[in-house]
Amino acid sequence: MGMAVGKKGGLQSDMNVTPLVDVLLVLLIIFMVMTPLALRGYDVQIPRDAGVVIPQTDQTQFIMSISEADCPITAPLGLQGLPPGCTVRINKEVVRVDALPQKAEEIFKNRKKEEKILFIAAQEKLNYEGIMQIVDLAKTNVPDLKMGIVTDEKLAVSGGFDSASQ
Amino acid sequence: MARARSKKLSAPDVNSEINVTPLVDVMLVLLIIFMVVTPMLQKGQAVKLPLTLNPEKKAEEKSQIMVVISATKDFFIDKARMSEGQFAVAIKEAYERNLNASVVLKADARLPYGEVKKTMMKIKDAGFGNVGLVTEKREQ
Repeated sequence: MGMAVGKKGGLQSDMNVTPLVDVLLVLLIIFMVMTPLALRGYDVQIPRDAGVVIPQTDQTQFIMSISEADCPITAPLGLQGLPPGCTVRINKEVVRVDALPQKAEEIFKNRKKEEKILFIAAQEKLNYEGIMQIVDLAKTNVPDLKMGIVTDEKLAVSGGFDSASQ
Repeated sequence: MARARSKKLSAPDVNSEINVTPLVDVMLVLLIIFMVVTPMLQKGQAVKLPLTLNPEKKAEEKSQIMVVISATKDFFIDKARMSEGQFAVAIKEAYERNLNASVVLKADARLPYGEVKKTMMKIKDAGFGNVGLVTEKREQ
């Protein structure tokens, strides 16, 4: 009986490559699909009707001011990233950048989606990469936070509108 | 000769399986090519992008206009190099050609923010209401 089986089938010494090919094909397809998604970044709103002054009330608008005095990032950043002790101001309130994710979460946690907008006023001589890293920190805990830019550079230094002048 | 033939006849194996070795070879090579190319893929003129920890993923669209500012303050729309003055005109034309296009801005990490803001203002003046700022994910 045993002999008969042996004679009929013969031993197969080839590797079974079918699972290997399956896995390779799937990996190949994943990489091919991912390739067009290589772009990463942040959306920034630039309102078309700039020049119209939107009345500012404490409840609805948050302006994040970044000035050289608070955060000296005029030179291109090295690998170490933002300098330690760097601060920004959100509606005049001083916030350390390392506390920014929590602060942003606290501010925007209970807001409607369309009200989650943070305006950025930064001094023009600051480094672009530094600004983007601060923006990134603000978005860390609030993924649906939208960004707006403030064109008036004076706001970056003064830290926001004076509540007294409004 | 005759002996050889008889020997061949007595060897019974006719292999009915496909030979997959070349297929696997090609697949492996393609896979490695994609794995190597994917991280270095950058559309438009190559610049040193700012590194941030968790940038959002953005899908590329067909009607996407890629604006690039290099460290030397040269402007590019897709791959065409232009000066700042030409850029203001070209971006307006691009808007008029396709009102629904989206703009993504790739600015060099070493630029001052003012340069980027000025460009965003020009893009706004052309008519667009939204700009995507492209960064690169920093591996920790």
